[in-house]
Amino acid sequence: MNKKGVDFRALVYLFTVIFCAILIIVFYLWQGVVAKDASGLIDIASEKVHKDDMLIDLLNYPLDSHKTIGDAVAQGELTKACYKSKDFFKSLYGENFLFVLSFDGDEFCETDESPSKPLKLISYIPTSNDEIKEVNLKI
Amino acid sequence: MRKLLKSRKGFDWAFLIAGVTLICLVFLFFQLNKKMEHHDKPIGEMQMDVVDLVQKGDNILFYLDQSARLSACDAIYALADKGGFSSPPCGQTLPLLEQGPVPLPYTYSFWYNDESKCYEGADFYAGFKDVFNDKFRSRIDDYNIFKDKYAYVPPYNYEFLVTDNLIAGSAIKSIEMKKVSAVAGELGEARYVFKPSFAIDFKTGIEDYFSVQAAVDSLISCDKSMQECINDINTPGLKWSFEMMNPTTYLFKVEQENIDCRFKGNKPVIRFAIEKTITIQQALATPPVAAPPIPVP
Repeated sequence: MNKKGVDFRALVYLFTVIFCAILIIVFYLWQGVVAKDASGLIDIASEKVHKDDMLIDLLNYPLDSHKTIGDAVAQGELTKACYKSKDFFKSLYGENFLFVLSFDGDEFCETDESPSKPLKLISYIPTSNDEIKEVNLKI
Repeated sequence: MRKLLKSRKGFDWAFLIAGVTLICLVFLFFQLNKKMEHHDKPIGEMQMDVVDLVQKGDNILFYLDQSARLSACDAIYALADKGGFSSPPCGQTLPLLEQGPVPLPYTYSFWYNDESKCYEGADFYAGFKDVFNDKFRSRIDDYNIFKDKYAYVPPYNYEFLVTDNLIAGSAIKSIEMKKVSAVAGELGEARYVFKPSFAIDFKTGIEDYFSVQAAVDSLISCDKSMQECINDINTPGLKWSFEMMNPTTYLFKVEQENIDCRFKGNKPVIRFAIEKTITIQQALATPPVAAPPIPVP
C-alpha cells in the first residue's frame, strides 16, 4: 500500500472540508445580514401599527356614558379631555409615557417632560360649529 | 510528489465535493441576490405604506363617525323646529318672534288644520333621514374641500337606516387610496380599498313624535280647556307648553327631555300648530295670548 498516496488524499479531503465549511459559513452570514434587515423592518412595522392607532384609540375612548374624548375635544372641553387622556395613557402604557396633545395648533395636554424625537400623529375632527380642526398627538 | 499529482490519486472525490459545494453556493447566492434586486426599497417598506394608508382610512372613518354624531344632533333640532316634517304637508304659520336673549323668528307646521290630521301617514323616520342626509353631506363636502384631505369622500354615497337608537350609513361606493411604493413595475403600488360605512348608537327621539301624535289625537277630540286637556295626557320625557296665536290656532312647544346633545345647550323643542274651533267656555278658560306675526321680508 502506498502510504504517501493515503496521506495526500487525507490532506486534500481535509482542505476540501475546511474550504467548504468556510464557504457555507460566509454564505450563512450573508444570508443572516439580509434576514436581519427584513426582521428589523417587521419589528418597526409592528411598532408603527401600534403607535399609529394610538390617536384614534384615544379619541374613541369613552369619557362618560355619552361622550368620547374625541367628542369632548371637538366641543372644546379640553380640560376634561386632558384629564381623561392622562388616565388613558397611564392605564395602558404606564406613568412614564410621554406625550403632547394639541387641538387646532394649541397644546392643551402634556406630560412634565416632552418626548424626544416625537412621532407626530394627526387626525381631523369636525366641530359643532361646522369647522374642521386638527388634533395632534406627539409620542 | 509530482508523480502523485500527476497520477491524481485523491483529487477526484475532493474536487467533486468542493466543486459541487461551490456550484450550489454560487447558484444560491445569485438566486437570492436576484430576488433582492426586485425590491428597489427594503423588504417591508411597501407593507409599511399599506399600513400608512390603513391609518389614513381609519382617520376618515373617525371623521365620518364624528360627523354622523354631530349631524344627528343637528337633524334632531332641525326636525323638531319643523314639527317632524321635512316638508310640512299642511303648511306653516307665519314667522313668529320667539322670546329669549336673541329673539328668533319661528314658523310652526300645522299638525291639524281644516279638520284634517296632517300627521296621519307621516313618516318621521324618512323626515329624519332627509334632514340628517343634508347635514351629513354638508360635513363631507367641508372635508373634501379641506386642504389636507387624505382621500375624496363621495357625499352622495349612502343608504341610511334610522331607528330610535341607531343611525347606520351603508356606503355604496368604496374609497380607494393608492401610494406608489417602488419604481419598479407592478410591485410599486400600495392600494387600500374600504367602504366608508358607519353605525352609531344614538337616541334619535323619533318615538317622541308618535307619543305626540297620540296626544294630539286626544287633544283634538278633547272638549275641556286646552290646559286641562294637556294635563290629562301622559307623555313621559316630554314637557308640553302652548299659547294661542288666535282664537282658533294653538301653538305647541314640546320639549324632548331625553335627548342628550349637550353642545346644543337647550333641549330640542318640537314646534307645531293646531287649528281647532273652540267653545266660548274654552275660550274663557284660556284667554288668548296673541303672538303677532311678523311680515316675511
